[in-house]
Amino acid sequence: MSQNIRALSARRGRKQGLLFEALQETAQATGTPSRAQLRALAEDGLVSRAALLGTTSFYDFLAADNRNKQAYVCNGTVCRLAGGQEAVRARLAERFPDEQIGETTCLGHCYRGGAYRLGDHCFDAGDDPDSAPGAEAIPFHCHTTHSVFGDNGNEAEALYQQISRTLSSAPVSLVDELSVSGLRSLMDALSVSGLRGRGGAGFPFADKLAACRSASTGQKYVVCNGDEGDPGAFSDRWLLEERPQRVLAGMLAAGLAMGSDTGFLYVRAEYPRAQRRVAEAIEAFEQTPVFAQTGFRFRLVRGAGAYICGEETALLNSIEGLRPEVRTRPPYPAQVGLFERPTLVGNVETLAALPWILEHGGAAFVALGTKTSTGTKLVSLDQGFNHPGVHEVAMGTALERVIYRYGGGFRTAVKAVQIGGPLGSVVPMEKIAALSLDFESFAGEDFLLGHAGIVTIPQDFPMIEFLRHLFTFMAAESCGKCLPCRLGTEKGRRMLLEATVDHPVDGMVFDDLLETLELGSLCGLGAGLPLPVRNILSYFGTEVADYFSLEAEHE
Amino acid sequence: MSENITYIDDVAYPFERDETIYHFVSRHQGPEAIPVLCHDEALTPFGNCRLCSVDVAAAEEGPRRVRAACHTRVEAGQYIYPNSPRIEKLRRTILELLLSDYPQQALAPNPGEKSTPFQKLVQQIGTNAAQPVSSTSRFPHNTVTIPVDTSHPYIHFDPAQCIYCYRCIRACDEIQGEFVLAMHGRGSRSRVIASLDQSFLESECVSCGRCVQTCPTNALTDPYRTKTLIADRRVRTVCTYCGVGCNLEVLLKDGEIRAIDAVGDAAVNRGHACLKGRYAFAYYNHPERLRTPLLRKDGELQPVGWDEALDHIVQRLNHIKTRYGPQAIGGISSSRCTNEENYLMQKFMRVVLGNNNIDGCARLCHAPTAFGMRKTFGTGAATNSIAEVGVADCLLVVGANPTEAHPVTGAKILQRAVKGIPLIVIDPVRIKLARYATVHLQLRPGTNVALLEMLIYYIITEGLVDEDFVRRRTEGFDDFRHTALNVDLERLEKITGVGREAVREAALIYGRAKNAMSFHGLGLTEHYQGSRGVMLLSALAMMTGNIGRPGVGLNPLRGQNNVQGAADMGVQPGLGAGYLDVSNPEVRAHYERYYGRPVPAEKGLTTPEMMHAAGEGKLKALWVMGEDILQSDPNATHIRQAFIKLDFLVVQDLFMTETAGLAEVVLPAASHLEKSGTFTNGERRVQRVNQVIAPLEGTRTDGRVMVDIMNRMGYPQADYDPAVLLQEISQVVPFFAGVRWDSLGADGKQWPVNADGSDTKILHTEQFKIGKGHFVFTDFAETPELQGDDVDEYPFILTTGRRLEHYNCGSMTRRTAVLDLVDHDELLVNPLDAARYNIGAGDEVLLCSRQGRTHLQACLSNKVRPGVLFTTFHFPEAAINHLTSGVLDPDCMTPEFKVVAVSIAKASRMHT
Repeated sequence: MSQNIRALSARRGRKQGLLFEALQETAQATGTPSRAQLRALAEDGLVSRAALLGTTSFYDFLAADNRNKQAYVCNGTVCRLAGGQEAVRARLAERFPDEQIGETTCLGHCYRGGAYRLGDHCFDAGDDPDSAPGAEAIPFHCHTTHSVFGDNGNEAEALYQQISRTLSSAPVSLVDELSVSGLRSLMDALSVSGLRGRGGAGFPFADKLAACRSASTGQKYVVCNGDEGDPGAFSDRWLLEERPQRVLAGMLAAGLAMGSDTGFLYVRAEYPRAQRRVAEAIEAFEQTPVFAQTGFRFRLVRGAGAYICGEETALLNSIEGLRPEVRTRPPYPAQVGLFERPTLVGNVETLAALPWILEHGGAAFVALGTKTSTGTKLVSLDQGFNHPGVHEVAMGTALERVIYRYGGGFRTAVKAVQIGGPLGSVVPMEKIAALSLDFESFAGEDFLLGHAGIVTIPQDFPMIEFLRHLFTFMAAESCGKCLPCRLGTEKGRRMLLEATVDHPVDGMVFDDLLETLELGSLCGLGAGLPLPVRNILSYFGTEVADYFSLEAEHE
Repeated sequence: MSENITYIDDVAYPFERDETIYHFVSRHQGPEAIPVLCHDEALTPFGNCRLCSVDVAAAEEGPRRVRAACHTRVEAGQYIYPNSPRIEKLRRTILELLLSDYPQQALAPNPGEKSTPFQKLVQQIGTNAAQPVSSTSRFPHNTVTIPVDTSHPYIHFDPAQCIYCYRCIRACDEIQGEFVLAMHGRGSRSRVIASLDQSFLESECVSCGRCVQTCPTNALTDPYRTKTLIADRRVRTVCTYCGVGCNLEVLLKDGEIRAIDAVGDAAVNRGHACLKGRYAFAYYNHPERLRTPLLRKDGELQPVGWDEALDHIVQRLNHIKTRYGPQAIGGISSSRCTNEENYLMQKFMRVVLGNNNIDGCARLCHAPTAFGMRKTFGTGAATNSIAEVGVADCLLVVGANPTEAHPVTGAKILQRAVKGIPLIVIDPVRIKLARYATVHLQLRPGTNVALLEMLIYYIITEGLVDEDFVRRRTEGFDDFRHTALNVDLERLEKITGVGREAVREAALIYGRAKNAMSFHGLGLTEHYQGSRGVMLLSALAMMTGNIGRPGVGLNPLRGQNNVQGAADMGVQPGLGAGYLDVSNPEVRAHYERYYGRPVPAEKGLTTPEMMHAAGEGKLKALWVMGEDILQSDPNATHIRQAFIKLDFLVVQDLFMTETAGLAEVVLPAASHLEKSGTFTNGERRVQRVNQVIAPLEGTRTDGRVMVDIMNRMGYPQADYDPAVLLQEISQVVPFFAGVRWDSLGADGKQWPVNADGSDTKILHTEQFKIGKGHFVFTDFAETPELQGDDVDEYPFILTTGRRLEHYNCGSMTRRTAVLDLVDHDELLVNPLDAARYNIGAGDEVLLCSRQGRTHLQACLSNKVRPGVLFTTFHFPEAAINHLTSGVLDPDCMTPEFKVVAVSIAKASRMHT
């Protein structure tokens, strides 16, 4: 997107704070900015009226539709599959007129379902609406010899001290003053650890950090991607709420190592509790001597409701106050990132693993997992399991073990699980035995591990409905920039919604659509959608056959 | 494997560094080898349509991945398959998806029009549908129900034909820098909006039309259907609406001018233009065009034939010349006319009538630039080229509002400023550029000299003088430094109203920049101390070494299309063609050699002096070529009285003007579309103006009239032919030595043009025209306009400028649909002043100066400070020049338009 608007936003940011935050302030009163507010902001902040409206109209919680909304019903995959959202809405309707109730995807309460949001607090099926909101933490179970994410003790200051001691004896502005041996030990440990990005792509983290470190000098940024938008995933929410000091420490380590003095922590709007916990952690950090020593600053950026912001370049645009549309790559953020400066974008879980690796060494991390998929993985298990919640498991653990031992098996009959979010694989029961929880095993079966969150699909839930849900979600969340995704998600949604046994979808046309999404899309949203869709067409072809006119297309 | 080789369909081709796949394949296999929709060479690759997708393998037989060719760079040893079966299918499906929502009737060209690029692509690529493309798509159909926006006179928007390529948004952003357009909403519901989802008319759109030009469909169109017009003929020529010199392509059909487009590869404007150049051409055959000579009989102007009119002129001029002598006749030439016409006009005055009473509108604008820069550098022309805006590290804009008055140059400066290149604006008005400026020094009008004194002071005290440059290239700096350090900052702060810290910051920015480039306009020159300000600005550039390389220098922004050329051609009393001093006998001998007649030695009169002489009854006859002096010159009442005293007035013009209304003979002229010749833009670029149509019936080009009258008065001047005239001019004017009609090329040449045809982008690279650069210090002196016993009666300062939509006195733009955008001049009043005088927005305000009075509609605005008023002068009703003063810059007789002492009051009546 626009280099000019980015430059203007950066200029504004230096004097008056982030444009994105100013835009959010304009929506505080009524849920969406008025024209007068946008005009005033344009006048004051250099960026044009159209550009500002272009941005606000993109987000669920800034767009005109959000006016006067008081309550939001979660329509994420799990809440839908679990049913009961009609009842939630009905309950809310007793308190609010219809136009004040909106929908949202997803609040990350998939371990219970029945989620909704009132103001800055979220509730789910397990909560008493009259009790203190959000009092209960996400259930967490560690199934490894060591938890990479430590205890929820008062460890923060010690963590920061350790990182600061290892990496820096001087303010970050003096990059050359970085303790060379400390830096080498971190880079070595990371390299040995084989840590791969936990956001889904699995890119070797040490390579990314090295690229950012060797990028041009001057201002650089660390950005933590806390936009865990995938329905069914709530492990990042758990980290942000229960281990925020680990996330900050990881960002600090990465920042000091690459020569950055600023970390942006982007936490999605649907996680108000996580935002509060992170804000508290940042405040606490700023009370430590390490803050004064290193000069490293954290900025919490609150999302405004757009799934695509989980894509790293859209996320950067979002922080900049631009429309969070996906950027073409290259250049990669490591070269041209936030405000055109070299930027390391890391997932919450990836960054939160750094302190442990720094403390225990890379080899210890490797020992926790497999050779190529090292360490542990946080797995979100939804309300369909007997032991729902966040489970820390060793990479390489058999999927059966995760599901039946750790998860305690299913509460009701399940015909498939979707692993790694709505763009992740739909795995039928018969395939579970063949899989272990690591990148290679999934790739070997043409699946994707993604972030490894597991959503259960009940036996009685029609797969055609699941397909419709996938397309509806993606059509609603596509940024709309590239034509294949903009048009493909919407046309696919229409085709599926209109499909009946009497008027089935033309299988060949649908296949052309999937191929176009896969080959043509600019980012993983459009390109990734065909994977779960094809999984369903392959493994549940018989079930959905009536809705498609060509058997041959289902393989 | 060679390092710069990669393969297209298994055939090896060399690629260039950083080349995109699209560029690489197009270069080797033609522009249509890879289809594109969202790509426009003038814009940054965007990669959203994905039609340019190609298959790429990193090695022979390697796995292929789909890559968008427009933004992916070629790497060595790749195997690119631009049209593999799955790629062709991908393209067809993308198109088919688009077509499912596209209005069927819009798939074929409009009757009598050619296809849009999108329509062509659909025909070329087709879809996967079994049926013909035009009938159906296999995907569900969504209907776009947003109505067509025809609110704007020149830009129409039909959202149903939008294909979401973002080209309009990107053009508005990356070329114009206005950011009026954006995508709204997300996903498949997102759509293009203007401003806060308003109509184009309501938006801040500046109507440059670049969005229309780049739109590959008929979603954005203009009423002339420029994109899809099937033209019989296209003629490239030069715009006449300002000194930028944009190249335009005029489209003709059935012998008529039907549309105008910006030339995509023109050096000056690269496909860009402003609304005047692109759209405001309807004046040329407006019913009010004069179509026959008019002769005053019995007090009334009556139509006569050309012979009668010309005979009458000859008889009257001969009579006056015989009776009162040659000095009783004066001529005012036109900066809107060609070099050749201006050359003829001054030649006519000098060798046929025998006086040097020739002047032009430069007197009213940049004569102080010419005078000041001649004193300091040796030549008054811009030292550098506008394209260097792109390489300068600091831009300084003094008393100019280029986004309004020089829109294409303004857009270039804006683009840099938006990206954060340091910009310093010195202007009493908070102009658009000031919004993006690093520092805006909002001085009191008329105090440029004081402000520059402060700037220079800080350059010295902050150690920012380029001592090496000063030593090698200039003289007189020690005295200059000594005087400049003795200024009283407190006094200067008080005079300018600008604090010293802001000036110091500006000095640091300018002085520390590797290459600092300055631009100035009439806000610097049209003052009592206009030329002194120019000399200080020259000093600022010299003392910081900002002369003689790319991205530096002094660059006066020329107001009229050929004001540079008119001066070059000798349209000023003291200097003949090529700025040679006519008081010098050798110069006169030089001219006589080519003119065949002697050139008079007696000093001629400037325009204000001619007016004065006419008022005194000494000047009896005046010939005015294409200028409405009564509307555009200061103190209109005084000028009217002078004109009434003239025995004989000839006016050549397109329309009946206020000045023509007083004439004895009015000659109907031809517009620039009806003639050939050359214009010289503000960066000394001599460009070809090519005749598009014959002069409208009954009219004649100013050049032909000159030739006719010279012949009738006994001077054998060959017929008007730019090629022949340029041959003569190249001998007379030294810096035109290599200028030839046939070898000017599409983009013209920047003078000095050497005999071998090579031209000059940057002046003073090795030494100044006068050898060593010269420092001239002048202390601020208050204009007489703001002094005197009665000054308390006029507590406000009125300053004036242009606005984008109209051109000077508006005789052309007021006769186009531009009127639908702006139909009156308005007065900017600071809200604090307005409150004090009980003036509300839209109220009529009575303005009184010592010279006269007028009414204007008030617009409350923080763009002006309290005590300062601003207005434009495009509409005769506003009659601003009834207010303006008789104060002149004593160095060059340029009137002080920019400072008028006035009083204001809320008017009781609604109309003037």
